[in-house]
Amino acid sequence: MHRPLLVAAVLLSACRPAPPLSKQPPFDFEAHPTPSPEAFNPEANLLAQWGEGGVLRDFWNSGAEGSFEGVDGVTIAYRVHRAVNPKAAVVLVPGRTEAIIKFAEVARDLVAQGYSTYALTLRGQGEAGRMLADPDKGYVAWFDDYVADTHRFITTVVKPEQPRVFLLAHSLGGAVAVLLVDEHPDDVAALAMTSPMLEIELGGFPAPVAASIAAGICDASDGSGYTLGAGPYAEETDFPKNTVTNSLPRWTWKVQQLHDDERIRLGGTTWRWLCQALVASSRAQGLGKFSSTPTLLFQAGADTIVKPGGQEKYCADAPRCTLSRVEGAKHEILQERDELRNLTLSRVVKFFDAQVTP
Amino acid sequence: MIALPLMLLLAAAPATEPTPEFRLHVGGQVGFPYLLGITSTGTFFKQGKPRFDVDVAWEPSVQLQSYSVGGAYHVLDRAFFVGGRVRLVQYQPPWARGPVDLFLGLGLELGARLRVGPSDKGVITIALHGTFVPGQASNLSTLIGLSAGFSWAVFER
Repeated sequence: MHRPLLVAAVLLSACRPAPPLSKQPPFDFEAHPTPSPEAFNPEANLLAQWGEGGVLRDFWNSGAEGSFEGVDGVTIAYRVHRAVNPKAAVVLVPGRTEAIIKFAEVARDLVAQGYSTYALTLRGQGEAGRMLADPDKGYVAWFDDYVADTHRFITTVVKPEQPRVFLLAHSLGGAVAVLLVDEHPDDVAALAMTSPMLEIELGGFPAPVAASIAAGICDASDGSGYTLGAGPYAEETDFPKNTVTNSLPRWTWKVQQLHDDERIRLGGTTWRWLCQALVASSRAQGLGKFSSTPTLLFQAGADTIVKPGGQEKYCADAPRCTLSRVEGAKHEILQERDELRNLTLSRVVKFFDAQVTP
Repeated sequence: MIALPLMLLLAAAPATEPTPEFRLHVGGQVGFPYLLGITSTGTFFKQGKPRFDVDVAWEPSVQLQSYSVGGAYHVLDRAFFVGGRVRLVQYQPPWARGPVDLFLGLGLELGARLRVGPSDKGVITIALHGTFVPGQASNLSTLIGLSAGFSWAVFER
């Protein structure tokens, strides 16, 4: 009885043709000996590097700040660090709550490898403008605004300086990146992602219950209230309880950044954000089959923020995607312990280098 | 609050008036997560008792949208029914910025349709429903909800 309906469902989903690419073999990191993980910044003296006169602080201060008007006039901030004779531009797209400043160490490592970095912050968080009067609330009106802002950044700020653009995106930024390469495939030449948010971990709630409650609340309100269990920003004080990194120095550095600058703090998610993120991440995980962009996806082995299924589906469907699982890593792989973070970053650079000189 | 007018409506209903073979009702509903709905239901009677219903429903809201066709069977010709529903579900409203995908969903429903009012022309519907959307990702592939509505017979034969 249901066969005709299933056929119709398949037909509906098959309206859009996928590019005629067959699945390519995964990227061979061993074939590219350099750079080694030792070429990247060690965590041991991170706080000293960030102190007044420290190398990381000086590097950060050498960057060029800028901002532009995103969708609906929301201010989007960015910072550029230019390499001498850059191989390409790397656009850094952050995760939820993250400010540009969190990219300081990654930007320094990438510039040392010959890449100019263009870090932006997403609307409603970090150094960017807010859409609600309460700056603590994690809110977005439409998820596609993230994509439109990033597209505007690439086309008006990055490409006029550097036509070859790579993307390095984390978590929420990963979902934005996947949607971006789908809507604007010519924006970027290659994409690397850490823990992309292609399937949100809904905690103790079964997915049907969580999705139905969220949809109902978003239907019945403007969605600007905090989700269950969420609230205003509260400073983290307990390293063992953190869910994003095993690196004490990098966690301490992050807490210090947020302690020092109240502008970049952000609290929990609102219902509107959750509804938008659920729809966008669900949509994003199904876009792999339409992608022809070389893609490297890092999956954190101990992630409790996003689920692995969406990442695996996207990468299995995408003809040019390589999935690299980082065992033991929590969600923020680029803020992890050296042996996890620097191995990941060395692989990112090997992958980008291979796109420069295939 | 609702009980008194319901009792009055039920009391006003003539017990022995012959019922037609078919009635078409139009009405509205409220629910969760589909907040509002406009429905048109056709009821087929057998020996004066409702046996089958078919309906079309449009459930617009701020986010979730549903356009559906449903069918129901009244167990033992009583008010209770089990049914199925085919929905076209949009997880974003048509005015959303960015792509708006449309998914086909298949659903099951359990509920009751209580006939009230003069000549039983009013119908109060309460239903629990679940929808499986095979084309959607796992976090959004199943939606469950509740709806309550009222409709009125506008045609019969």
